[in-house]
Amino acid sequence: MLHDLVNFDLWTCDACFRSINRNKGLVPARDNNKSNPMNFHAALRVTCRIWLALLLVSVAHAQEGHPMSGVWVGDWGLDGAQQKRVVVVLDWMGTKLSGTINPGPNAIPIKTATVDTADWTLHLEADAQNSNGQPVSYVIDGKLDDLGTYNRSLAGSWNVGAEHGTFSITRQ
Amino acid sequence: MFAGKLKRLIPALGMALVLCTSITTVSAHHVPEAKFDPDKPMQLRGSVSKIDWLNPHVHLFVEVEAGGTTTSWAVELENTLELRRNGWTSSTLKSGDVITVQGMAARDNSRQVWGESVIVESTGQRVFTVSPAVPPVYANGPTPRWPDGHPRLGAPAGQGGGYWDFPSKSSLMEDGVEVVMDSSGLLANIEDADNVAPFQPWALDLYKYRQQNFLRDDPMFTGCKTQAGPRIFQRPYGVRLLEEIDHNRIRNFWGDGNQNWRTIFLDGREQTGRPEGNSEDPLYWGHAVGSWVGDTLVIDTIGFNDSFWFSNGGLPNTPQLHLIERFSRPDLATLHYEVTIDDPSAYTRTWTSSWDMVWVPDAELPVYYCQDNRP
Repeated sequence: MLHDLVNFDLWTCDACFRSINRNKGLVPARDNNKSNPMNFHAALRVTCRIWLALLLVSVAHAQEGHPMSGVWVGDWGLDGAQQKRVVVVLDWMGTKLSGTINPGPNAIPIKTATVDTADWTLHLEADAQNSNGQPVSYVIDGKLDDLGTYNRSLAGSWNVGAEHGTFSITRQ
Repeated sequence: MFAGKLKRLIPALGMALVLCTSITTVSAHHVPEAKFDPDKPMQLRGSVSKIDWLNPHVHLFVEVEAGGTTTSWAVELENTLELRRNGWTSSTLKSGDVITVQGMAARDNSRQVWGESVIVESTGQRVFTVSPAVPPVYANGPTPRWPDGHPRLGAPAGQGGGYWDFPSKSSLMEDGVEVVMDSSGLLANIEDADNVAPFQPWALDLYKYRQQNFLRDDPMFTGCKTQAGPRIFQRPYGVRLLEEIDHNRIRNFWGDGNQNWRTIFLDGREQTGRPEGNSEDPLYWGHAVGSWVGDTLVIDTIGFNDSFWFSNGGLPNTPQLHLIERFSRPDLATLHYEVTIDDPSAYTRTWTSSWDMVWVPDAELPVYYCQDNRP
């Protein structure tokens, strides 16, 4: 499980890097530099992998405390579009829930996080920029399933601006 | 009020007899109702094919014939320590014995039954009955002490063995609160939940969820995870506080759960535990430093992970948990344990719970190994 997460960061960092640098004309549509381990792209991927591994180790023991705390991995996608992998890190401290979507170089801090423990529903809001640099708002609403198990899951709606989608993530 | 009370009789001549009527936990594993449904009583008759004499639960495998078809069933019983204490062994039954079993069917409709009654057809004898353990009865005495005057937390000078058992409370609840619970910490009335402790709303809802599901998700039951925190002093099979005077530390052993132990440092070292866990420690038990304040041992522990339940009954805890434990020994037979819970991420304020334990002299800690029949 941890191995899958560490390898997942490769996709996250790779996609992030391509998105950023394609816009700047620095990276072609296809990456032709895979054979050169010393290029900047490879160095950034290594950095991302180390960063995410450290993050996962630091929260790897979170299990029986607040049910929302932990690292959640799964997919989200807008209606009619391909599903994308996503990592959501949540942490309950004191009386507040906070977290990050896709930790890494393009992390999206969660602006609002609330949970209704009457029915274990979660509400998240976050602001980010799309690939064109335009501001977009994320509004995510999900319901917790299998509350008592280690690998509990969250699923629901994942809306970006005016576009609607769904998500399903599992606690690692 | 709990399943039993601790009573002490002191005769006029000053010789105190410890007569305890407390009822202790009979199972060191899951509450039967977590897996079996009391509303689904059943009976089966068949021949024993195998006896799996292992913890956390002994199983009888029984071949049951019905309608010309033979199916295999598993009858779940108490653990080996309880059965042995009641005089039963792995040889009580043998392959081929025909038995009649009455009990509760499994909630998942698998071919498993909790064996409330097992009767051997050939003799009519009921076997594998279990009665609760009762505390020993002996003459009480004054607090045993070290040469420096501090109370001994173990056997008196010149004696060996012994441990503490039979807690007068089976689950955490705030001092001054009285709610009815069974020996596993299950509430008799779920409406009493918010009286147990000053829960934050999420913690109360999680506690109720765990209670309403018969504690089935307890990591001690699902994965043989260790007890930690105050739960160490509420599990069956006792605790031992081994005072290593020359090393200024105490090793806290317990009989339940894979012979785990924790270290309590008394050498004046700095408390270096951190809320997210202390990398020097196994993390389940935090970083514990203590000192004597008069006749009371005061222990400060911080740096727990949240991979365990810190109480019977499923009261929640988080990595922000900070405990202050106080141990005192008012007489030979009594250990008074008091714990102050400070977990600002789960409770609205600090709160305290306390109970007594009984000295069991001249005995070794029972050995209960939870993972016996785990792959």
